[in-house]
Amino acid sequence: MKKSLVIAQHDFLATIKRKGYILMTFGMPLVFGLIGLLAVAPTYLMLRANKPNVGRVNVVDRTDGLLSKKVAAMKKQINAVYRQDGEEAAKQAVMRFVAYKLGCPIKLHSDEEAARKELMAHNIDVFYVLRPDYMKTGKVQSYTRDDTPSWVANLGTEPLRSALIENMLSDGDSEEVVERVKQPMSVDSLTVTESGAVLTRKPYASLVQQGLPYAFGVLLMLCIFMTSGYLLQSLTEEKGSRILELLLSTVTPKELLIGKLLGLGGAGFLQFLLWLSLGITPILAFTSLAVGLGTLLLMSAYFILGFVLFGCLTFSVACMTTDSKESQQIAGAWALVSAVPLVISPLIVGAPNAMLARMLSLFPLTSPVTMILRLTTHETLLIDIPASLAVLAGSIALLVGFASNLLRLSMATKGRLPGLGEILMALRV
Amino acid sequence: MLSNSGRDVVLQVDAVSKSFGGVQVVDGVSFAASRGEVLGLVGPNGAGKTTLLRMIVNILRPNEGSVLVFGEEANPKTQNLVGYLPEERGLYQRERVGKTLVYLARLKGLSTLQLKGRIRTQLREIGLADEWDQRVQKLSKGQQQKLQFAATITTDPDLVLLDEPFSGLDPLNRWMVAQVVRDLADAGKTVVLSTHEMGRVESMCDRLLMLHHGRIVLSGTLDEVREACADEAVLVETTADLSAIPGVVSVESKNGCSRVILEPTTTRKQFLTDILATGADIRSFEPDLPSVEEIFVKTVQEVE
Repeated sequence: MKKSLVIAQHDFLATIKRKGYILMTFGMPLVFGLIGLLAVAPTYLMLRANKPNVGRVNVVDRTDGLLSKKVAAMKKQINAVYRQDGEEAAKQAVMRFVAYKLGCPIKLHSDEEAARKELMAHNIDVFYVLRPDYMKTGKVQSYTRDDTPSWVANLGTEPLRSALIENMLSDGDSEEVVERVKQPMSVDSLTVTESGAVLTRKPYASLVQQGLPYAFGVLLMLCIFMTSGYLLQSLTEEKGSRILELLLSTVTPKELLIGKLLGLGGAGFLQFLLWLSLGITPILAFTSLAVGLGTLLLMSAYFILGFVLFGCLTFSVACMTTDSKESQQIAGAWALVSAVPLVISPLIVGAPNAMLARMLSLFPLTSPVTMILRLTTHETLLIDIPASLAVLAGSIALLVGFASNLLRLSMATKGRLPGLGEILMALRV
Repeated sequence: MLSNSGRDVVLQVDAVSKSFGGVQVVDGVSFAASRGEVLGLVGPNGAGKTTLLRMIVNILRPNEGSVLVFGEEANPKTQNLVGYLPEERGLYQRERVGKTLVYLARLKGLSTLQLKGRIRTQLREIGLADEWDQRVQKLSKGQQQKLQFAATITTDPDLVLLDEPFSGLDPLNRWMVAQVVRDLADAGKTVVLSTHEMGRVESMCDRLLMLHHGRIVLSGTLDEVREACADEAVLVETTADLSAIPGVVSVESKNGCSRVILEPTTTRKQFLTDILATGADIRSFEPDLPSVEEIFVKTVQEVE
């Protein structure tokens, strides 16, 4: 093990100092960020240019009738105009009043209960509540159903803001009014569940809920490919530069394999952690998605086992082949197999305990990604967790022996591809 | 364990066989090497020399027989006691000289602290003292060869296996490497030297082992081997008329001497007695022993 650690340290440092590694580690988040920006920007610009028609804004006004002040003021104005300027002028004022009432975007509900009933009956998608202390705090609560996207909560905020300012100003320009007009509202987003419970909604939760399993799976695949690449590169270089024989005169193939898995895996894991901290962690921090510590630990276990499994496979291929292109072609074959769970992720996440998901969980190549996808649903059958972990651990134990034997074999075959018989001999771990 | 020479046996190879894909590469090879001995391993290409060395250093495992290194079956622990310079050698091209040597020595279980001083001394000895921070790729081919040689002996191993250590070196560096090998033997290290340079074998080795088609076809001390392979020829400087002496097949001139081929039934001692009996002067008389190269060619041809 000591020798493996020396190899691990050497390969880790050699890898993280490479320009390619540094470029990939910091370039990848930039590229993904750019892609994300390019994907989101047109939608954002379109929304800005064509604000959707949201209909009337449903509001429960728990202040002392703030949103009725404009109407009251207009009514008062009609009376004053009639007394001062006569019938004709009053008619004009009435016309303005009617036009205002017709164009008013606000629909007032008598109380919260009534509005909530409308919401749960799907007659409306969002309603706002002006709290009694609104003038002091500016607090407005938006209520949506928990199955609606988070952006629905903001649909009526612009018209409501205008209405609030209009009504406040119709009541004079006291200091309190001026202060509130400067910052008319601060919206707390709440969701109502089917059972009637009210929860605080964090932005983009539903988006993340749907995307997180996929993101974890993609990240695992990315890291596996990247680290497999490092392994291939490292071993092919050592074969090419002919230092491998010197190394094997000092360490056993198993020590070499473990050292490389630790060192290059460490480099890959460092990359994973950086990407995680730059990408998924902030999303998790700002959303209501609940990923328990246990689930995270299990995900990490599948991640590590998946990585080691593919590392052993890559190592075996690099042992058998004579150049890196050939190795990459063969490694690409099972990379495709391992990506199958990602391709069919909606099926797995939609039915995490169906036969398909369970079978893929027990097949070593597809097990890590499938289980990570299933774990995010919080519905995985418990028995499948130890079973899949055992399958992965067993496969790895066999592969370590197989890969070590293949490396010995490659020393004997002097660069030629070993025959099937020889490979089968190597399988006798 | 002691060898026939009474010295400690460092390496004991016993009836070792190895085959790859149905091809018998090493076939029932047995020999031993003792402390302080330089053993020459010779044979034509494909004779099984490198495979034999790889089994000694535990890269390959024999199909049959045993390899004992310091009395133990070759295993990961014995690897630390063996310095191996492979025939196909290379280094991490992008790494620095000092770091490369430290890394390779750490793999043998030595600590960095123990190493730095020793490595600097070694680099000085092989003329690379100023290259500690140099990248390997900046060194000439010859310098890289010397660096690899240094990597083999940095950890002060008791058994040193050298597979073609002189290839790629200029005459001066060959001489230097030969000198270091002799120094190692004088310091009690055992050296197994696999080479095609028969002159080096003759000048450096105590014993010789010749492999062909995976089998030992010759072994023994240099004198034993040359004696065994000598035909009935004698080099004589004398005033006698050699062709008139009984038992002489032919006489030819060689380097100012007469090279006399004797009949198989005539011994050198009998021939010398017969010359003395003529009353002629004898300035020199010695058996005409073949060189290792001649033995090599002759043996291979005979086996073929």
